[in-house]
Amino acid sequence: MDSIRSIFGRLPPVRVIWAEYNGRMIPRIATIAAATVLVFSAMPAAAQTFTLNMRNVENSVMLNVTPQHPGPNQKVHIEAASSFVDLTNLTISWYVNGKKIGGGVGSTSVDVMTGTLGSETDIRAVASGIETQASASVALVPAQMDLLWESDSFTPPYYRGRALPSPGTAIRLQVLTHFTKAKGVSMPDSDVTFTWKRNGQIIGDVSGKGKSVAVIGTSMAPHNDIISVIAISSDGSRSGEVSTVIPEVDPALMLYEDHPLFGIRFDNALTDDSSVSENEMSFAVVPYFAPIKSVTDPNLQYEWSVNNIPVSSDARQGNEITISADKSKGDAALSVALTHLTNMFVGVSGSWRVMLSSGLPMKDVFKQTTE
Amino acid sequence: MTLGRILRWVLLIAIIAIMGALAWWYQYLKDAQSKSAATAAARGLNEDVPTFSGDTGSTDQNMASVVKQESSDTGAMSGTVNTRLWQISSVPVAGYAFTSQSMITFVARSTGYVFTANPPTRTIVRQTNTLQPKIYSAYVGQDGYIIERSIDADGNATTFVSQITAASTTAPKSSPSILAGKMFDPNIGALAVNPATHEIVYTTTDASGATSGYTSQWDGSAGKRLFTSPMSGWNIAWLSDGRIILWQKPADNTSGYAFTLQKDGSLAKLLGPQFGLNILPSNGSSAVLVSSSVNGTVSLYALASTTAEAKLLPIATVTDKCAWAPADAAATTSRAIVAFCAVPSSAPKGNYINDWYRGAVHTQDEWWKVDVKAGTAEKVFGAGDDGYVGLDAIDPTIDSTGASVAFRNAEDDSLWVLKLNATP
Repeated sequence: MDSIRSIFGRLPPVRVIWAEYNGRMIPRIATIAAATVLVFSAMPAAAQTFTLNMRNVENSVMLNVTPQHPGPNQKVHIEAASSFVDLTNLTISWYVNGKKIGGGVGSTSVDVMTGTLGSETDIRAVASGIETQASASVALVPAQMDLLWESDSFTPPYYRGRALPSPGTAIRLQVLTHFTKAKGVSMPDSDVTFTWKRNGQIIGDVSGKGKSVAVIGTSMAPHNDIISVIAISSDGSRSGEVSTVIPEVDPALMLYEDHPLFGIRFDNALTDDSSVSENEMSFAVVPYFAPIKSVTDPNLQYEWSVNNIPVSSDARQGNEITISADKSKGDAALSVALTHLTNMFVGVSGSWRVMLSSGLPMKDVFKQTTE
Repeated sequence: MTLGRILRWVLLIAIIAIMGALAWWYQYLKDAQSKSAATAAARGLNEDVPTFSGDTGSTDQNMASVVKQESSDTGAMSGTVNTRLWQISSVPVAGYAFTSQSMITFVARSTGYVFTANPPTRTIVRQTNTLQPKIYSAYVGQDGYIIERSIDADGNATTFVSQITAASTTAPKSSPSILAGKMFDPNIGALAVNPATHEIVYTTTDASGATSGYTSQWDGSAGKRLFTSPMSGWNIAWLSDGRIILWQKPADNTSGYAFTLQKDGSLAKLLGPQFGLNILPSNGSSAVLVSSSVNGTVSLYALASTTAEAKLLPIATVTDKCAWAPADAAATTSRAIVAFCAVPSSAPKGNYINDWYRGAVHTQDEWWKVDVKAGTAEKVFGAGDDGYVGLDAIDPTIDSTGASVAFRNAEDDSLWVLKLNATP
């Protein structure tokens, strides 16, 4: 016993509370200060009582908020927990902005609605028992974050849809935090630290203070990525998290008629089994979502073949080819393979069967004309 | 043998040799001539000068023949003045609008010519004679404001802004006017026009991918930068109440947002995130139609105002197929907010938006009237109705009385007009 006291003499003061359990008196630690001390006795009934003064009992309760970064007008679940106080036997009272909203013995959780964007809701839990008084509080400041993204992959002018990422392209992301300071003043991104993650892994080189815009690469093979970003203000008063799923796709080659007057007929893609009422037609292939800037990139190589016979395309417009059935009815099996001299990610091919008709017998080889 | 005899033999041989050489030369020239003649014939020498008329000749005649009611390939689609559906043009049209109560002004894609069509009389008049082929997109405004957009040889977007004198329904075809205007900045992305002031708002993207939004007067003067954004794929609308709405270009299973542009250049969120988000804001109110596409399902929602709860409508379509009815036309004792939408007769499946935008799929649509406040819809024209043709409607626009809707067939960009009321 003297040795134990000598140990305690060197440690911060601790108050021991004796509690009855199954007819026996057992010691329980009231709180933890700088060090944890467990005092026990092999014969609690005959044990002596140590009176030790514990600090910070009243701060022994923690409040866990779910979701961690709530938005405006959102229901939030708040759970009180403590490693050193048995809350189930304590009377817990809950207060919202100073007003009591409920409580009871062992009432360890409560659901609260957040206010509008930028408003602050103070939640306070007070746990009290015969010899215990502890409390905790948290301020809920709802955050709204929007995560925008797009790819730099190729789409033709006037294409109505989003440019989707494919291997070799980049994804541009922007998070809009909508954080506000006092009096509703918007908080600039320079006061916020952004942590970007891809599938849970931090992307260090695009994370940091003020980095609300990120440009990341795609993977080698198409799949879905979960991109998330956590934003925390410099003073810690504001925080938020948002995530999105980004689908990566393979580039898609689409074949269209290139009409001399109407231009490329983006409205009607030719399929694997198309019929046209002309016996001579120009075709254009458009590589949607490919990692290129222009279909006329001089480093692009278009390898065309008609009915398995390689043919050369226009030197200036490699993505186009003109085919003439020469007054005959022709079934043309077109195929094209697209590669890039310096970009290994550009590798896509397509094939189509087009029936050019003029009513005459079919020929095996078509006379190809180029401008 | 005497010398004389030798000379006679030599002379004879020489004559024969010369005759042989001449004969060879004659044959050579003859062969060469034949070859030249054949080549010249192949090149059309001595052919009559083509008159460029008929079905494959004159562009003007072709345009006139196909846009007229008598066009052979429209067949039964041209209909009579009593049918509800009229095909104005069977050739691709780049843009169109109701420029008066009943008159439709449109731009032909192949020529850039501006035409006016009068549905009640089924007449068409050409207004301009400035040839600009391959017009992929056109904006037709009131008071003769025209924007024609094309693609240059390098694949960049070009924008030509012009204005013509007020169109006439009676002016003879022989007196069309010049389409005078100017080329705007190259590589304009999104573009919209304030219907009240004719100011233009547009976006441009620099080499780094950063996008800026600008406004300017119709002639390009008084340019002012409104905002910058790291995103470049925007749709934009400028409403008559002054609001500028931006929303991300949609894709299936892809989250998107819509914003209202604030005066300080910041973006205030209007809607989102929503998968496949596309919107149709209303000029006459704060109502919005919203479509989405996720996991192969296309849905349409209606919001009576930007703060109202979104109501899921019982029709599966996208906002590209919808148009707002004018407020006056829709006014009833209950002051309903009404829109008309073309709805695919079979629900779109798969990656519908991505495939449709690339011209890979097309639908056959029926027309429905949407009551936004009630969240209900009723069919107004479809299979079984007189003159019905299943078309893949896109970009509809409704006249000021709410009586007719003009739209393109997305399968071939032909132009159509439909009377929305069953009674003629």
